[in-house]
Amino acid sequence: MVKLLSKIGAFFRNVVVLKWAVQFIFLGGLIAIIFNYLNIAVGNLANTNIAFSWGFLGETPGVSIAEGLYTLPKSGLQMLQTGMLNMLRITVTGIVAATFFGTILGIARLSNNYIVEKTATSLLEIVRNVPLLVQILFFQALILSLPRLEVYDVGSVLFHASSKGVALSWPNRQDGAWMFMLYFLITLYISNRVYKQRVKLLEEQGRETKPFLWSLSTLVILFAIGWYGGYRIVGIIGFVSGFISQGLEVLPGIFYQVLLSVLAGYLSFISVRKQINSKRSGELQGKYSDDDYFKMIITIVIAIVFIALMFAPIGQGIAKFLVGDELTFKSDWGLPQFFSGISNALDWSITGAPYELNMAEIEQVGTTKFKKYSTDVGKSLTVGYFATWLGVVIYTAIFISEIVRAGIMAVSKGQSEAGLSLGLRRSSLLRLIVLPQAVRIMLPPMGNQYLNLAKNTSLGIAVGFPEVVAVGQTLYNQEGQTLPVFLIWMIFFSTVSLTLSSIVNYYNRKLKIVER
Amino acid sequence: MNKKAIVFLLVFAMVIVACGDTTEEAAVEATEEEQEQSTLEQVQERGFLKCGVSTGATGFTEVGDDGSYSGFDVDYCYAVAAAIFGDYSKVEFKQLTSAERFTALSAGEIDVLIRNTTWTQSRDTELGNDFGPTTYYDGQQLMGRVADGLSNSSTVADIDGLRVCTNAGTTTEKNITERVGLAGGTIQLITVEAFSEAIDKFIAGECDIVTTDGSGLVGRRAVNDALNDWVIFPTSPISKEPLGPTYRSNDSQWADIINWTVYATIIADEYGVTAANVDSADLEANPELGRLFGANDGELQTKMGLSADAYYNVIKQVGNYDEIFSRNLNPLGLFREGGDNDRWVDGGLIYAPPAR
Amino acid sequence: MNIDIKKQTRVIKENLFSSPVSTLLTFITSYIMISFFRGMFGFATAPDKDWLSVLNNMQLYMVQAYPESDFIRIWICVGLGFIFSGLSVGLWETEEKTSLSKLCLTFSKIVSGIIFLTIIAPTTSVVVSTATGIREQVDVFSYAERVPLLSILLGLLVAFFLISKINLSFNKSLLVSIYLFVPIILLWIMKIPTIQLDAENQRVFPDPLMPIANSTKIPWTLIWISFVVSYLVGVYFKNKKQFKNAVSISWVLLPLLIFSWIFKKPLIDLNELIRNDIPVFIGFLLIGVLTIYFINNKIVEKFYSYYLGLLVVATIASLFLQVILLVKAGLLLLLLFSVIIPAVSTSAKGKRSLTIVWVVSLTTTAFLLEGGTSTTQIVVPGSSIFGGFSLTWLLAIFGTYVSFPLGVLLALGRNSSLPIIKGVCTGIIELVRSVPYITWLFFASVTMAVFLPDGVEFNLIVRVLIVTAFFSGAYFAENIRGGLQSIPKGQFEAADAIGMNTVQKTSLIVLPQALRAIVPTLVSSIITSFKDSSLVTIIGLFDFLTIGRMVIGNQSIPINFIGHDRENLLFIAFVYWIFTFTLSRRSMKFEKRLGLGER
Repeated sequence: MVKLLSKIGAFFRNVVVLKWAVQFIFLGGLIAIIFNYLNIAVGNLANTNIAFSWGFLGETPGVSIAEGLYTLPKSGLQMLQTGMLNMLRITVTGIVAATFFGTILGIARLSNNYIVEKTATSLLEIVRNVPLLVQILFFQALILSLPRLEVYDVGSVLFHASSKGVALSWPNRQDGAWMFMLYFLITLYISNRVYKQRVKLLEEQGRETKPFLWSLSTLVILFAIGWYGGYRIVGIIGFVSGFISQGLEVLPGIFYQVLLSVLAGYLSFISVRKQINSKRSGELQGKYSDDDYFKMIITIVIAIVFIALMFAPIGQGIAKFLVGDELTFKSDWGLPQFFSGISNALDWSITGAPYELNMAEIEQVGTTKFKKYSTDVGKSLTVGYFATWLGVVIYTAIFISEIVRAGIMAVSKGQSEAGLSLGLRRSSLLRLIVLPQAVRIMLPPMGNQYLNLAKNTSLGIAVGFPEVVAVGQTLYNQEGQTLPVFLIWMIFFSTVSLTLSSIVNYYNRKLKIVER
Repeated sequence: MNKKAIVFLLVFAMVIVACGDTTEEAAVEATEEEQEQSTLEQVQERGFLKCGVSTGATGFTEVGDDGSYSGFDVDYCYAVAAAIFGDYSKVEFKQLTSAERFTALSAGEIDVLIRNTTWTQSRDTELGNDFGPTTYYDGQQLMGRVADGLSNSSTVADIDGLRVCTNAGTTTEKNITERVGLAGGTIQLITVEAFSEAIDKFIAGECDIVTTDGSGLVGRRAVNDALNDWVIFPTSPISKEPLGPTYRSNDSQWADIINWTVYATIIADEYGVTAANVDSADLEANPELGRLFGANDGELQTKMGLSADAYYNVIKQVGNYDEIFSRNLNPLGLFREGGDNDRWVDGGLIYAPPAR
Repeated sequence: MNIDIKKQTRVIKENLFSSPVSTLLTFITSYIMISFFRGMFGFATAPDKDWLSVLNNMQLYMVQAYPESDFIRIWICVGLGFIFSGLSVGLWETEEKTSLSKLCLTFSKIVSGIIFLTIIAPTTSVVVSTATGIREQVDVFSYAERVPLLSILLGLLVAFFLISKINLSFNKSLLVSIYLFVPIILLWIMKIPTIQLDAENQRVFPDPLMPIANSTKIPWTLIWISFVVSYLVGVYFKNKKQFKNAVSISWVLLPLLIFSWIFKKPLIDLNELIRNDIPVFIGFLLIGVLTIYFINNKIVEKFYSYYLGLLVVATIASLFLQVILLVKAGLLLLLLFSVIIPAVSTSAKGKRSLTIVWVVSLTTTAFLLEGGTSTTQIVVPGSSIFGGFSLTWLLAIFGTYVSFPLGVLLALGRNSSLPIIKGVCTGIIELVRSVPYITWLFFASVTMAVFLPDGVEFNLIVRVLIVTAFFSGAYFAENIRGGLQSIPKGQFEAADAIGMNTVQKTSLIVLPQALRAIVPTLVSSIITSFKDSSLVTIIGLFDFLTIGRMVIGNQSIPINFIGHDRENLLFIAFVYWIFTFTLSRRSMKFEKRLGLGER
C-alpha cells in the first residue's frame, strides 16, 4: 500500500507530468471560459432577435459610398471590398511617401547646419506629441478653410486646391498600363542581371566593362521599345490565364475543399517528418523530448481539424467564394473571375501609350452652377482622403526619421572616418558606406512603423473617408450584425499585418546573408 | 529588494481596486433571480432614467454651455421620468450619434431612445426594437444655396452629379440613394457622424447639398444661415419620416408606459389642459381626464406599474403636446397649424386612443 | 553676459554657411519658417476667428458636466497634484546650482525672441468673407499697435540686464517655481474677455480688453503658493529616505485617491461598514500577521503548501461567488503575500518590514475599495460626472494601471518554456496587436454587451478600460520582452542551482531585475495612453477632443459657435502638446537621475 502511494506520489513529482498537467489545466480553464462566454453570447443574440448570420454579405445595403471601386455596392461584400481597397490605397502610397520623407527628415536631423537641424527637430517634437486624430482633423479643417471651388473658372490647371479637395496633374493609366508595369518589372530584372554579369566579368578579367553604363542603356532601350508597343509581349500571360480561367470555371466547389484538405495533409506530413529527422543527428540520437512529441501531435491535430472544417459549412462557404458563386455573394471575386480579370487587363490586342500625362481640370457639373474636379483627367483627391493621407504620412515619417537617425548613428564612427580618409565626399560616404550598413539595423523597426501606418488609416472614419472601418460601421448600423463585421475586421487586419511583416522579414533575411 | 516587492504587490492590488473602483453606477450585480428584471424594475431600482438623445439637433436636443439640456425630445425624456418617478429631473442623458444609437439601445446602455428616429419596417423587425407613437411627422428634404441656382421648385433630379452630405447610419442615406437612382442620376454621398459636421462642410463648400429631416434643416437654417441664402427643397418631402421614441422589443409593460406618456400629452392637448391650468381642470365634467390624472376609480396607471397621478405629474411638470411643441419648435419657424402635426380635429395626424 | 563677437561670427559661419549647399538650405529653411510663422499669426488674429469659443467653454473642456456646487473638489484634486509635484521636486532636488545671471540670460533670450517675432509679424491677414466667398485682406496688427508692446519688451530686456549684475546663485530646482510664476503673473495682469448678451439674447461685442472678473485667478495663485511651500518642505526633508519612499508610493496611489474619494464624493453607509467590512478587514489582517510570525514553526511549515492550495481554491471560488468585493480583494492579496512570506520572513527584520507592508497594503486596498464601490451621491442633471479633460486623464492613468499587470503576465507567459502557455500568450499578443485600436473600441461599445451575462451591465467607460487593458497590455508585453530577455542567463542558472522552483525564481529573481527595464516603458506607456485616449471620441465618449469637435459646434445656448472648429482644434492640439512634451522631457530626466538603464 505504501509502495503504491509512494509510486503515486512519485508520479505527481515527476517534472514532465507536472508540466503537462499544469498546461492542460490552464488550457482546459481557458476553453471553459471561452465556451461560457460564447454560450452567453448566443443566448443574448437570440433574445434580441438578431441571430448571428453572414447573410448580410449577400444583401443589398442600399447606401452609396463616397469614393472607391463600387460607389453603389450591390451587396455587403462589395461594400467591404470597396472599403478594403480604399484602405490599401492609402497604405501602399503612404508607405512609399513616408519612407521617402522620413529618410530625408532623418538625414536633416543629422546635418551640421544649425537651422536645418533645429527645424527638423522642432517638427519632430510638434508632430510626435500631438495625437494623430487631432492632426488629421486639423488637416481637414485646413482644407475646408480654402475657398469654394465655385469661385474659380472652368478649365485646365496644373495644380489646384479648394474646399472640395486637391487636384494634381498626373500620368493617367490607359488600357495598357498594367501590361507596361509588368513589362517594366521584367526590364528592371534584366538590366539587374546585365549589371551583375558585367561586374563579374570585371572581376574575372580585370578590364573595364562599364557595368553601370551597360545596364542603364539596356534599361533605356527596353523602356523605349516597351513604351511604343513592345509591352504587348506580356499579353502572353493574359492569354494563358484566360485558358486557366475557362478551365477553373468548370470545377465544382468540392474540388477546392478536397484540394485544400490534401494540401493540409501533405504539409503536416512534411512538418512531422522534419521534426522526426531533426533529432536523428549524432549527438541527439533520436531522443525525443516531450516538447517534440507535443509539436508533432499538435501538427497532426491541427491538420485533422482543418480537414474537418473544410467539409463543414464554413468550408463550403470558402469553396463557394473561391468558385466565384455570384448568386451567393453578388460580387465577382472568385478564382475564375480573378484569372479572367488578369486576361482582360493583359490583353495583347491593346495598343497605345500606357500612360498619358494630363493636367487636372475643373469642370461644370451637368447644367448646374456647381463645379467639380474631373475624375477622367489628372488626379483628384477628396478632402477625407487627403486629410487622412497627409496626417498618416507625416506622423509615420517622423517616427521613421527617428529610426533612420538611430540607424545611421549606430554605424561605428570608424567607418565614416575611414571613408573620409579615402577621400570620399560626404554624399558618397553616406550612399556607399553608411547607408548599406545602417539599413540592416533600420529594417525591423521600420517594418513595425509600416504596420502602424496600416492600422492608423482606420482614423479616416473621423473625416468621412470610407475605409474599411467606416464602411463596416455603416454596414452593421443598417443591418444590425455587429459580431460578423468585427470578425471580418480582425481577419482583414491580421492578413494585412501578416503580409507586411513577412515582406519585411524577407528583406531582413536577405540582408542578413550579406554578412560574413 | 523589499521596496521592489512592495511596489510589485501594490500594483497587483491596484488591479482589483481599479476594477472595483470604476464600476460606478451599474456595478457588477449578478442578479440572484431566475428571470431577468423588466426594464421598469431596473429603472426604478436605479433611481433615474437613462435616455438616449442626439448629439445636437436644433430644436430637438440642445446642450447649453453649462451642460443643461433642452429640446423637444429632451422634454419627452423628462415626461417619461416624471411619469415613473414623479420628478422630471431624474434623467441621465446620453448623447448618441446616429451611427451608434441602435446598438446602444440593444446593448442596454439606455432605456429608451428619444432621438428623432424614423419608424421603418426594417428597424422595427431586424434590429430588435419597437417604436412608440409618432411625436413628430416629418419628411426628408434637401438644402442648398440660392446663389448656386437652386430654388423652392428644384427636385431630386437637379442634384445629379453633386456632392451630398448627410448623417451616417440613417434612413436618409438609403432614401437619397434610392431616389436619385430612380431619377436616373448619381451622387457622391459623404456621411458624417454628427449633423453639425455636415453643416460645417456645407458652409465650407465641400458639399453642395445637405439632406436630413425637414425639421433639422429648418432648425439649422434658422441658426446658421447668416446670408439668408439657403433654400429647402422639394416642397413636398421625398420620404415619410415619422419620428418617435424607440425601445427594446419584448417588454410590453415598458412599451405601454412610454406609449401612454406620449398619448397623455396628446389627450391633455385635446382638452386644452396645460401645465398652468391642470390644477383647476374640471375633472368631473371630463371623466377621461379624471382617469388619466388618477383622480377617480377608473384610473389605470397603477395597473401599469406607475403611481396613480403619474400623468398628472407629466402635464404639471413638463406640459402638454402643444406646450412642448411651441416651446421648442416655434422659435425655429416650425408650426403646427396647417401641417401634419396639427390636432386631428383640425386636419392633422396627432390623435390619441381614449384613456378608458 | 559677455558677447565675444569674433567667436560668435566664426561659430555662425561654421554652422550655417559652411558650404554653398548649406547656405542655400539655411536661406530656404529660414524663409519657410518665417512665412509659416506669419501665416499662423495671421490666422490666429484674423477678425473672423472667435477665440471666445474656446475661452467661454473652458469649463466644458475641463470637466464637462460636473456640478458647479462641487467645484471645490476639483480644485482640491488639482492642488493635491501640485503639492505632490512640489514635494517631489524638493525631495529629489539636483545638486546643480544656477545663478541669477544665467536665469536672466534665459529670460533675455526669450524676450529677444518675442521682440523678433513681433517685428516680423504680418500686418494684414486674409479673411474669407462668408457673404461673397471672396478673400480679402484686413489689417490686424498695425505697426502703431506694436509700439507699446515693443517698448514694454525692451524695458524688460534692460531690467534683466541690470538684474544680472547681481551675484546670486541658487539651486536649479527652484527654477520650476519661477517658471510657474510667469503664467500666474500673466493671469493677474491680462484681461480675458467673455461673451456679453444684450436684452434680446443677441451678441454684443464690448471692448475686448475690458476687465471682467476672472474666477480662477485666486485658486491658481493659492495652488502656486502651496507648490512653493511643499517644495521647501521637500528640500527640508531631502535626506530622509523613508520620506522619499512614502512619497514615491503615494504617487502611485494618488490617482486612485483623487478619482475615488475626492472627485466622486462617495456615500458611505456606516451600518454596512461596521457590520460587514470591519470584521472582514480585521480577519484578514490577523491571518496575514499570524502567518508571518509563525512561518518558522515546524507544523506550519509542513502544511504550508496545503494552505497555499486552499488559498488558491478559495480565491478562484470567490471570483465566481456572491461575496463582497473586500473579501475577493483580500483573498487575492493574501495569496500573493503568502507566496513570498517563506522567502522573506526569515529574519526578525524581514518579518517586521513584511508586517508593515502587509498592513499598509491591506489598509490601502480597503480604503480605496470603500471609495470605489459605493454609489455616488452626485446626481448630475445630465451625463456622468467624468467628462472633458478629467475623462482623458482617467482613461490614460487607469488604462495604464490595468494594463501593467496584464502586460507583465503576458510577457512572462510568452517567455515561458511551456509550449501551450507560450503559444496561447503569443497568440493573444499577436491577435490583439494586429487590429487597430478603433476596432477594439467599437468592440467595447457595441459587441461586448453581447458577451456579458444577464443583469451585468458595465458602464461604457469601464468597457473601454477593459479593452484598453488588453490592447496596451499586449503592446507593453512586447516592450518589456526585451527587458526580460536582457537578464543574464547566469541568474537563472544560479537560481536553479540553489533549488528555487519556477514561481520563486520568477517572483524573486526575474521580476525585480526586469522592473528596471519596465519602469521607463511604464512612463512612456502612460504618455501613449494619454494620446490614444483621444480616439474614444469616435465611440461617443465625451472626452477632451469630443467637446472641441462636437459639443461646441452643436451648442445654441448662449450662441452658436459653428464654423469655429479651427480655433478649438488648435487649442486642443496645444494642450495635448504641452502635457505630452513636459511628461516625456521629465521622464527622460527622471530616468537619468535614477540611473535606470545603467548597470
